[in-house]
Amino acid sequence: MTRKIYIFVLTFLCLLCGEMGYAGDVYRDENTAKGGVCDLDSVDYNFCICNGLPENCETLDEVIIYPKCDQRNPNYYNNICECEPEWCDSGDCTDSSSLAFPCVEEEDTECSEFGEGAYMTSCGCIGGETGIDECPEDDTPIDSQDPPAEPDPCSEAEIAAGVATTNLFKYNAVSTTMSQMPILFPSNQPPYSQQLEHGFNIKSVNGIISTTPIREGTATGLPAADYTASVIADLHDHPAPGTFAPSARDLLGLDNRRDLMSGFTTSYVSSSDGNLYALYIDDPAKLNAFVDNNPGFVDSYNNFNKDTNIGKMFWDTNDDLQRQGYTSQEAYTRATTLILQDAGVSLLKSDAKTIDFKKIDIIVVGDDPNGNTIIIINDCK
Amino acid sequence: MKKIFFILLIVLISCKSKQEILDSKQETNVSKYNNPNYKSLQKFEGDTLKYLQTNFLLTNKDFYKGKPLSILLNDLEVEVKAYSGASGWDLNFKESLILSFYSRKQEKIKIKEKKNPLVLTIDWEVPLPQEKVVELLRKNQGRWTEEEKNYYGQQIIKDIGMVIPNY
Repeated sequence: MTRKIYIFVLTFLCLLCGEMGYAGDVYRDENTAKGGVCDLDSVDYNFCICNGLPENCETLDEVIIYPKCDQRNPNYYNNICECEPEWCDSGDCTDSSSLAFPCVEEEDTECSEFGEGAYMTSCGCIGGETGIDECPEDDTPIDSQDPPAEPDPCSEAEIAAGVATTNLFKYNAVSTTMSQMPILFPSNQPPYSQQLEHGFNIKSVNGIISTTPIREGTATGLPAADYTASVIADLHDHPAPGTFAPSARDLLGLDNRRDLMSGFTTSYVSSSDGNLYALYIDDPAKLNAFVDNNPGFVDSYNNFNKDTNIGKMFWDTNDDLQRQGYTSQEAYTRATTLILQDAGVSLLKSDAKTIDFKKIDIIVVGDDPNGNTIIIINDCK
Repeated sequence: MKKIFFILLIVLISCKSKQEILDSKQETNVSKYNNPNYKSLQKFEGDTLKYLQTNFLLTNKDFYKGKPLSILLNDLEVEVKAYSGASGWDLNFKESLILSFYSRKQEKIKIKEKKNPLVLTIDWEVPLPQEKVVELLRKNQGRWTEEEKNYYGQQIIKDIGMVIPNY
C-alpha cells in the first residue's frame, strides 16, 4: 500500500515538473488582449461607447461639433501643434529630440563672391567684403490703422506658378482642345482595361499658343509623341476610377520632357476625381538631381516604388494622411507633395470647372505618442 | 526511506534536465514551420540586416511565398514597430504591406545617418480592399496590434522584398 502511495506521489511530481517546463514557453501568438470596450486591442472595442457617445454614433444624423482639440474634431490635425505642442518637432537644431539636431553650419553660396563671412539677409548680402555689417533700418512708416494681413504660406514664386498654369490653361486653343477630350465620368463605367488615357501637347511659337491633336493611349499610359522644340506643356487624363493623379511616372516624364525641350514647364493631369492637377517645374536642376539620386523610384504600376526609401516615405505619408481622415485620392496627392519638396516641382490643383490653379502642400510637424507622423495642410490660398 | 529520497532526487534531476533541453531549444529557435534554412537571430550576433536578408530574402524567401504571412511572422524574431500599405494601379486596393522594425522617428534618424532602415516589403497574391485596411489603420491608430497581425497574417505572400536606400 505504502509503495503504491509513493508511486502515485512520484508520478504526480513528474507530471508537475513537466507542466512547469512548458509553462516557461511563451507562445508568440498568445492573445494578450485584456478585452473591454476601451481596449484598442480587443474585439469588443467600441469607439462610440468608449468616448461616451451613443453605441451607434456613426449613424447619427446630427452633426456633433467637437472642440478643436478633441481628436474627434475633423480639423484636429490642423490644430495639432496648438493642441499637442509636445508632439511637434521644434525644428531647433540645438534640441536633441528634434530631427534638425545637430546643428550643421550651411555654406552660404549665394554670397560667396563677397568672400568668407558674407551671408544673405533680407537686404541682400552683408558681411565679408561687402563693407556692410547690418541691414539699414526700414524708414517706411507703419500705418497702425491697417489690420494685420492674414499670412499666406505661398511665396511669390508659388503664386506666380499658380498664375502661369491658370493662364496657360485658359488660352482659347487649350480650352477648345480640352473640351474635345472624352468625358471622364460616364454614368456606366466601362471595364478598367477600356478606360484609355488621352492627351495632347501645348506649343508656343512666337508667343502664339496652339495644341497638337488629341491622341489615345492605353489604360496605363499615353505614349510620348509630338514633342517638338516648341512644346511647353502637355495634358493627359487618368480616366479610371481608383487611378491616381498625377503618378510617379508623370514626375519622371516631366524630367524627360524638360531634358528634351528647354521651354517645357508644366504637365497637366485630368483626374477621375473631378480635379485638374499641374506639375510645374520650379527648379529644373533640382528635378534632374532628384531623378538621378533616386533610381528606380517608379514601379511597374507607374506608382512610387515601395522598395526605395523615397517610395517608402511616400506610402508612409499616404497612410498617415488616410489615418488622419483623408480619402485615398486626397492622401495620395498630398503625399506626392511631400516628395516634390525635394524635386524642384510644385503640385497645383484646380477644380475641373472653375480653372484656378493653386499650389497644394503639406508640412510634417512631428510625431504622436503612437509613433505616427503628424501632418498638416499648407496650401496656397 | 533512503530509497525514496534517492528516487526523488532522480526525478528532480530529470525534471531539471528537461527544462534545460526546452530552454536550449528555444535559444536555437528553429523555424516553427520547418524552414530548413532558417537561422536564428542569435547566430547573426546583432546584425539584423543580415538576419532579415538571409532568412526572408535571397533564395530563402521561396519557402514563404505562397503561404500565409502568419508563417513568416511566427518565424520572425524582430518586433514589427510600424507598417504601411502600398497600392498598384488602383488606389482602392493594397498590393503590398511594408513592415518596419524601427519606429517612424527612429527610421528617419537612420535615414538621416545614411543607415539601412531595415524594412521588409510583402506583395500579396490577392490585393486587399482599401476599406478594410483603412478601417484598421484608423481604429488602431497605425499600431501593429494583434488585430493587424491576424488580418494580415491570413493573407498569402506573392513576393518578399526590402527597401534599398539610395545612399
